[in-house]
Amino acid sequence: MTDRTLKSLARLEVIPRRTIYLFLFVACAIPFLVPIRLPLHIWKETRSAFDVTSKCPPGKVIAISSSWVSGSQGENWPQYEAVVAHCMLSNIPFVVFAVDADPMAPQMAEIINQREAKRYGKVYGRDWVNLGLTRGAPLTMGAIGRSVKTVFQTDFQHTSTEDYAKLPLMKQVRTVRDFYCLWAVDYQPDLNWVVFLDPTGNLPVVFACAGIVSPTFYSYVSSGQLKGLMVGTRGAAEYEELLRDTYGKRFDDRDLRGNKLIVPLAFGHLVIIAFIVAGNIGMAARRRQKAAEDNR
Amino acid sequence: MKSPRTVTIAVTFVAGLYFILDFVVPPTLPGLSTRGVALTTSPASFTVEVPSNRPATYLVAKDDPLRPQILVAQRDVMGQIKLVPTTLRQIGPGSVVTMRRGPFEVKAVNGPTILTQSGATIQVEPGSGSFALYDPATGRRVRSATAGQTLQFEQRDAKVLTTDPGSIELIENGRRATLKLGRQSVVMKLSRYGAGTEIQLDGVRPGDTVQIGPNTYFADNRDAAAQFNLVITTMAFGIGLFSLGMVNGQTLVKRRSGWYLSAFFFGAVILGVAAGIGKYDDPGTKARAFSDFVVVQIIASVTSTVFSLLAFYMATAAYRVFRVRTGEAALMMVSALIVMIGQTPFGSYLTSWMGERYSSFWLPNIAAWILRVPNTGVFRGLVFGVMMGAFATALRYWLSMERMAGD
Repeated sequence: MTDRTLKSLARLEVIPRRTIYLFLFVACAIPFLVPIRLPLHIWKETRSAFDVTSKCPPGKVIAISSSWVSGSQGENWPQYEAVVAHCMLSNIPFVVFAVDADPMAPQMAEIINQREAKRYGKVYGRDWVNLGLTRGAPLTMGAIGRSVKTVFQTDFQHTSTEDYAKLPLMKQVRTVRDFYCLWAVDYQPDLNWVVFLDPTGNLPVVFACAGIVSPTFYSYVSSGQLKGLMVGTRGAAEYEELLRDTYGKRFDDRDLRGNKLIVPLAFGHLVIIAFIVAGNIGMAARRRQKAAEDNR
Repeated sequence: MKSPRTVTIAVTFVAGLYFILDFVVPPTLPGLSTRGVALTTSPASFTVEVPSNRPATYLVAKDDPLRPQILVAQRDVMGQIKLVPTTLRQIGPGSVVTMRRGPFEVKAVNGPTILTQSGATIQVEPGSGSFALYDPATGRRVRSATAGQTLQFEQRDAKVLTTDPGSIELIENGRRATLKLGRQSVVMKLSRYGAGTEIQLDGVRPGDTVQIGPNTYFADNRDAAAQFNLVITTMAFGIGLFSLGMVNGQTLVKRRSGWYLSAFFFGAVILGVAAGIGKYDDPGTKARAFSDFVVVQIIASVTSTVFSLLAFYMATAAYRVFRVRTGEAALMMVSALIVMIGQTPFGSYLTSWMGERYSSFWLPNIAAWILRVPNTGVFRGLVFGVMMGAFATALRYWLSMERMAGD
């Protein structure tokens, strides 16, 4: 390799950060302008999460702890809308609550609940109830398991949870035994859900988390303490794919973000990988250049 | 009056001690508990005073179609009195309770006696406000019962005179024994897997493995402890806001550098409070629209923007840090690249041409193996180490050995 080539390659070691920003911005923006579809590989953890939810028997309710807010909406928004779409498509009633979250959390969840409800003809109070926000985990988690209505005496709009005329669903929600499973959708869901909500360990718990924290949860999936795991936007896109396969045209995927965000994410990853490789080529070239100079 | 610090230390210690004991101490007192396989039970009962001064005795038996539900009055968060279910163990002589029985179908009415379709009889005292018949479908009060009606019966504000917790016949260590329950006895149904759960005596079925013993009271107070925790956590937010207000208020009054940021802080607090007022209003109202605008259009957008910037910082950090300087660094980089690309659709796109036979070599499957096997092993080891440190730190907090604010 000539000195000139080595010198050119060595420049890759110190690429200005603004150049990286520009490439990343362009890579993430292109899929928003030009529709691109890429094949999806369904991970075992996502399929397990889907299967657990699908098996919910009549008369049971799914509990969703939705403690995410706008900071992590890039990942948690598509996850939450996929879970809600699944519940509504399968006529599974659900209660949603937030524990130790930002006060915005119930509102963020309700935006999705109401949009999906319009699509599938669901009614608030009968098909889902938003119980709002509470604090004090992990003890509050145990208290929810023992008596949902003791912790949540009103829903997020201050309607009494014992007002069965307005919230008929709450008639069948008393303790953890009335739940079929718990979905915890958050940037990093609290592992205390596994321990405290149902101390007998019988309630299946499924997490939907951000991609960056997902390596911390795989050990709980292999031990069986988590029955499924939806990882980041990838998990949401896979879940949407499973909904599409299962429900066909009944599944209304307009405006769902999983499949829309997975492509910019993939392009972003490619750019980062390309720069990492470039940085290493630059470092190797500089080393060889230095060794050549030392030999002279 | 003790100093605030001593009070804080005492409260921290007692609260911590409760939480530890709640985990460690079983619901029934060890040494005084009996464990065995249930054979038969004789039902619990309680006697209450009725307006005519004739005591009435109620049996608490599951096979009784008119098994009384015992309710006590409690004030909810909205300040309203409501009736909540309780157990026989939690009431005693002198307690004031409400009994709810039914729904039942009326077969015949003979003066104050109602005969139900199941053959049971209910005594009411006409003219007494303590007795009430309800239509369970509408919740409306019914003045008098007629045959064919489905009703619910309620006796309100009854004073408990005596309670009999009942007894159980069980096989304990191969011998048949009859155990008379005490007023504070707890019946735990044990399962092969998982922890035992408390049940009422009439919930015991022949063949159930049960543990019966005096109550240790920790389980009874879990909800109170959870509420204490909730109150303290909520108070911390108030204290945080108060503290921020003090600091920013001083900066603003004394016109220190950055005073305009303090002014912005107060503006943001006022905006947040104003948005919170209409948070629960009906959709379509002006207050709700304003709240949604502040929360969804301003706060959500700002926080998303701040969070999104992380992607750019992470890209430059990865570019600078991931350099193959050693063999270990090379291993880490290769596995990181596989996991990164394996988590994107490009992973399948690049390697699925190999076909199902070689699917183990598809990038998503290699990435999944890295996460499920080596990552899990390493993470478990890491968690053990971290938890040892966390345990030591928690111990220091519990015993107030850490420096406190103001030290």
